[in-house]
Amino acid sequence: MKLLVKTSLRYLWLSLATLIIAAGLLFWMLKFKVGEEMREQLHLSSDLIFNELKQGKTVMHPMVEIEKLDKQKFAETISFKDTLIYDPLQNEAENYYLLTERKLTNGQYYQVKVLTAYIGWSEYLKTIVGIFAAVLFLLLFVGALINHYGNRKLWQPFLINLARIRSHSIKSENKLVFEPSNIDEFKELNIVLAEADERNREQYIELKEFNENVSHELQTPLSIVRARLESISQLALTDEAAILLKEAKTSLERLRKINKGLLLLTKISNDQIDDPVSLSLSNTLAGQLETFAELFVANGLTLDINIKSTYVQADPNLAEILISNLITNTLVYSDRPGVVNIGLADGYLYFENPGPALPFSEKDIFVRFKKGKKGVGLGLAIVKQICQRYNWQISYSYTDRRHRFDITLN
Amino acid sequence: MKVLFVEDEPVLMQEMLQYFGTQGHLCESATTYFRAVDKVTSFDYDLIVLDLRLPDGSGLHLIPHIKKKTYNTGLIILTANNTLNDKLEGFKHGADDYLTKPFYVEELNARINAVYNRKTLNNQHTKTFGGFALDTQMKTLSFNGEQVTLTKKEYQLLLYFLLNADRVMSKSSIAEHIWGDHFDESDNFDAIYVHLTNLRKKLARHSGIDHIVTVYGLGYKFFSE
Repeated sequence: MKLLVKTSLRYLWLSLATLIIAAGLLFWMLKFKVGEEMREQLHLSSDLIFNELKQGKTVMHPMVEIEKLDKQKFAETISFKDTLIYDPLQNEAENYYLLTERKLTNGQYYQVKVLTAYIGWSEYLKTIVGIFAAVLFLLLFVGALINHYGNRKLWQPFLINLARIRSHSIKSENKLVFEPSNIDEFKELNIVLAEADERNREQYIELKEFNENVSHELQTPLSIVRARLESISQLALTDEAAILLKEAKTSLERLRKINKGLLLLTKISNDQIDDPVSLSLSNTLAGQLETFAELFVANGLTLDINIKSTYVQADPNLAEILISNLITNTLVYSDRPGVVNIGLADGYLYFENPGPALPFSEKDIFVRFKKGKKGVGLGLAIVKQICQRYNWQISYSYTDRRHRFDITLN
Repeated sequence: MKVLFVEDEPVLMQEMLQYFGTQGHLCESATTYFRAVDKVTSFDYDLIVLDLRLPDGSGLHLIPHIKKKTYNTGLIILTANNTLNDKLEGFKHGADDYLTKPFYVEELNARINAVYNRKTLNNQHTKTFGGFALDTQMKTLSFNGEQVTLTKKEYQLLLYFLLNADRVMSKSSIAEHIWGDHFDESDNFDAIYVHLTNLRKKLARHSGIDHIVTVYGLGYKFFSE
């Protein structure tokens, strides 16, 4: 829910409650004051009539009923009453206020009834509710106008900054520039956001530099060690020395591959990858399969390939790594002899090979360094990372002793 | 062939000079950008192997100096940075090939030969050994005039061995050359073994000599004699 809608709703509920209370008070006050005024007026009329009776005049007033009372002894009383009297003109009963006074005048008891018409209280109530409903409506309308134009302007810097933050990339050379505001809260927010942006940029640059440093600083000693070990290989070595050297070389290759894989993973997750281009994934797949075809044959594996021309938006290097990692995976973890199914059609890529169940939980298949006995344990983590980068859905399943990877390309 | 190596790391420089010296090339070295500019502007080279990261400047800036001097100099770039960006940048500036550290000197040798063969016009396409003749343009092998059929991989293997004769080559050097660095799994050295066995049989069937020997624990060695 938008903030403006939320504040408007609160405003509406608060206005409603206030108006209901105000309407109640108004009704009650009106009823009290008007009633008092009418009573006074009826008293006055009654007093005037008794005065005239005292002077022996014949009193003929509309809305007045005078009655001589026969009995000798009456208590002098005065009473008010609401009554309904039929109005033939309007053909309906109307509200009247009635004062009945019994009084001894010139030795004769008279009962005088004085009437006055008034609008019924329910009519008052209806009118009040109507007026207040109109006020409520006006308040809402004006409130909405204020929200729409006034508050919108008020929130403008905030909304502009939000859009800027959203479109800002940490990779950008430029710092985030915030729209200034004279509202304290927004000012404070701008300061905090600017600081956060600065911190993020620093961390990003540090990380980037760290990657570049690792890449360069580790590759050089790796190169030296590799070159030296190769030179040692040229010397006349005993069998024992040859085995020791071989083990050293195997570990060095492993180190080199781990370094390379981790750097690639970091690069992808840090967005240090070139913009995607349109490329034929089917060509990439076919090319890689051609490279590996003999390895499948040498390992007693039959390839069942189904490729249809497919184009994707991706970095060619990453596409190649994705495919070759998955091919290598099927190659290494297949039961031999066996049939490997690889296909690409209708935006859908799959690799399926026979093999024993995973020695770890299925959900860990893409986790770094979760691996079988072979490999360095980064191949599938890299595959997953590449898929995530291009919003391709990858899933793994194992049924009937067959491993299967499905990738839905977008 | 006259080759200039521009590389700031002394061990790598020594390894390259040592190996390519035995290949019969005339090798020179420069360990800084400044010295490299000096050499490039003063002498002609058939080929330059250039490390992009030098202590006093980027190797990329050296390329215009090389191109100004002669258009025919082959250029191979070395870098520790395996990004497509660097690769494209290198090719855009006129590099003929690109190699990521760490690399095998045998691989560099193969690249140097390929670039040199492409660049020079009066190039000799045939390499001979023990009665065999390998035509690097037609990609064919013959023994005393008789054609020997090779698969693509066997041809690649033989050329790689021939260029790096008398050197112990590790299985991973061979695997990387044939399948690239994506080839990740050492237990598939079986595939190399299969190709090698076939190649050895074909060579021995014609000449009666096994030119390739297995070096215990370390790899293979090719004898051209």
